[in-house]
Amino acid sequence: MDLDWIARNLADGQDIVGLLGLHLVLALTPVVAALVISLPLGYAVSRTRAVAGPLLALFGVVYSVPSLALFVALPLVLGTRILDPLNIVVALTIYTVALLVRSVVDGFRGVPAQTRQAAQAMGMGPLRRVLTVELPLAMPVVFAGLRVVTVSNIALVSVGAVIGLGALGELFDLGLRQGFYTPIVVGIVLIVALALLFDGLILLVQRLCLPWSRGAAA
Amino acid sequence: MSSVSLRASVAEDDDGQAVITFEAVSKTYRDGTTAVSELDLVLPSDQVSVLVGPSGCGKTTTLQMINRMIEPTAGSISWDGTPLPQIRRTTLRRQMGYVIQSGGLFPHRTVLDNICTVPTLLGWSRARSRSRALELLSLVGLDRSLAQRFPAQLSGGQQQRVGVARALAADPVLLLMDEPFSAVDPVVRADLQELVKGLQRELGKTIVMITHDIDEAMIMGDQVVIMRVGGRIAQMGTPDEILDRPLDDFVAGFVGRDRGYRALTFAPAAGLPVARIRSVRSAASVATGSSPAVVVDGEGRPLGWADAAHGSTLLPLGATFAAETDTLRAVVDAALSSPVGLAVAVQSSGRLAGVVSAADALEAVRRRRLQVAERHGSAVAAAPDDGDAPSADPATLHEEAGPPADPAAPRQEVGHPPTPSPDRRTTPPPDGAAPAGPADDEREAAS
Repeated sequence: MDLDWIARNLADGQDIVGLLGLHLVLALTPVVAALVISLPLGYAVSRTRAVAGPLLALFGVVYSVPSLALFVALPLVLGTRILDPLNIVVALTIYTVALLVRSVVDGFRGVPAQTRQAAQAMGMGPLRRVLTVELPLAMPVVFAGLRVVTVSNIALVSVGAVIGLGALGELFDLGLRQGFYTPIVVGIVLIVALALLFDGLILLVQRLCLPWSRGAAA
Repeated sequence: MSSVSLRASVAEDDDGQAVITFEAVSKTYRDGTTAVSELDLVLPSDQVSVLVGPSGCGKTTTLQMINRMIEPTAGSISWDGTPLPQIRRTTLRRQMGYVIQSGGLFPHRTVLDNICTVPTLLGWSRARSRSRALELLSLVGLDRSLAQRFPAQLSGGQQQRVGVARALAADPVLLLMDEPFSAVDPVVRADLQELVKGLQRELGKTIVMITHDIDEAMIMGDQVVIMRVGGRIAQMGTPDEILDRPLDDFVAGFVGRDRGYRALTFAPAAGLPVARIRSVRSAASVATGSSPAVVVDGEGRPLGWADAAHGSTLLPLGATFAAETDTLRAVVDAALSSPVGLAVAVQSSGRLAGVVSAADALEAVRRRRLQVAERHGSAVAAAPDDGDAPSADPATLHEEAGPPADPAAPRQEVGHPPTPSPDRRTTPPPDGAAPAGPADDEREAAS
């Protein structure tokens, strides 16, 4: 370990801090985007009967596309430059949606039929019922999925280093190329710390937003 | 707009006019199953109507057609003359309280917010909804400290009470109850049944309830509608009409073999001759050769029986009944469970009031049955045994638990076919063997 390297790096206000910020942006933007896409998509899928299975299988296939291939292929599809961070964001959004839709579907399917029926029988319209009863009741499962995709994204961003856009993952690239292990250790520690931090943060948000579901669907 | 006229007409309705009317209503599902067929039904206002039947009899479909959760495929349903399709679904439902199994509460909302559901939908102010909700909590017997809890933090019985409070929140004229008490234990169920009956008397709601539990139907219903598979009515009437005169084998089978016994639930015990009985403070103080005596504690509350034949052993008391308030069913039960064939009556304070012999209890049962038969006005005519009733008036106290065979005889002479017998074991049972069954049981109980 070369602590001096770390001190120098921090003093410059360069690499590590900048990469950390970039890492967060690249990992979390897709989570937010995917949540916005997955909630309506997942609800729609949960309402279909026969089509739901094949649709979910399709999302599974999407997730199995190698990330590297996607990082390389997206610029062609999107017409972006190969080093555009948008490539990473779009790629991770696709993965995140593929994972999160399943959680959203499970969440909506887990809403007790009786509760849905009670809402209907109380005289709630369909939109109000979905937004104020079904959605909140689906959220514990969605949160569980959210924690998985967030941790997974924080790890996955580093793969972008291969195309020169891996945020903290570039520290691995640096260390490997120079046979210098300090950046690699720093990268691993920071990525793990980020993952743990955000996993905890999401759990905290869940506890605050869903006080009724403590302990459920953890 | 239609809802406004509807409210007005409902408000005027206090002359027992029908609230919900089904005319030739059928419901066939897409897979071809007929849940309800050609149903004609009137659910009167200010009464509890209970739809009961085996699963698959269409009772749930029938209930859910009332608030348009399900639309009929044929026929029409009207609410106080207004055909249901003329009322917007949400408007209609907000005027009908709905109670569902396990309360169907929203797990993510507090007790208070659950109760406020319909008031909020109706646009009441927050303050008004809250104060109404707190008022309802007390009404259903829950402490206000529960207001901020979530449903999962309540017991099953408490949840169900919140369910009832939620249904009553916007003061609906009509309450729909879908197997409301089937998920709670029997003791809690009895409490809840009492609660709802009390509220109904107090608030004068029209209640339509479904259950698969015939006992519950008999306890709750002013009118009971027994349905059979395929959504047809097998019989409708008051509980004691149905218990006394099941129309056919299906109904007889459905109301079960204990129906004669259950029918006694509708006969008060008050008026029975309660005889005095010797009370002692200790079983040992009963002299040889004397008749059985009740052993009481220092407050005069019965503890058990003492009988010279058993020396100083305290015999079990058996069930007791409240002389003023209980039903004939409780008296017969007390007599059957007594080791000496005497039903022990207690005052409201729990003090010994006296005893009723098994023979007297059965005599009361016999007269009760005659009364019911006459009231139902079939060809019972002046049965020759009518004159026997006064003479059989029990002035004396039978101390032995022997089976009184005599009440059977006059009953056979009454002879209108569907009169129930307490001991029906088969369906349809042969008529007339009435009190032999309980007497048998009694012997078993006494030995």
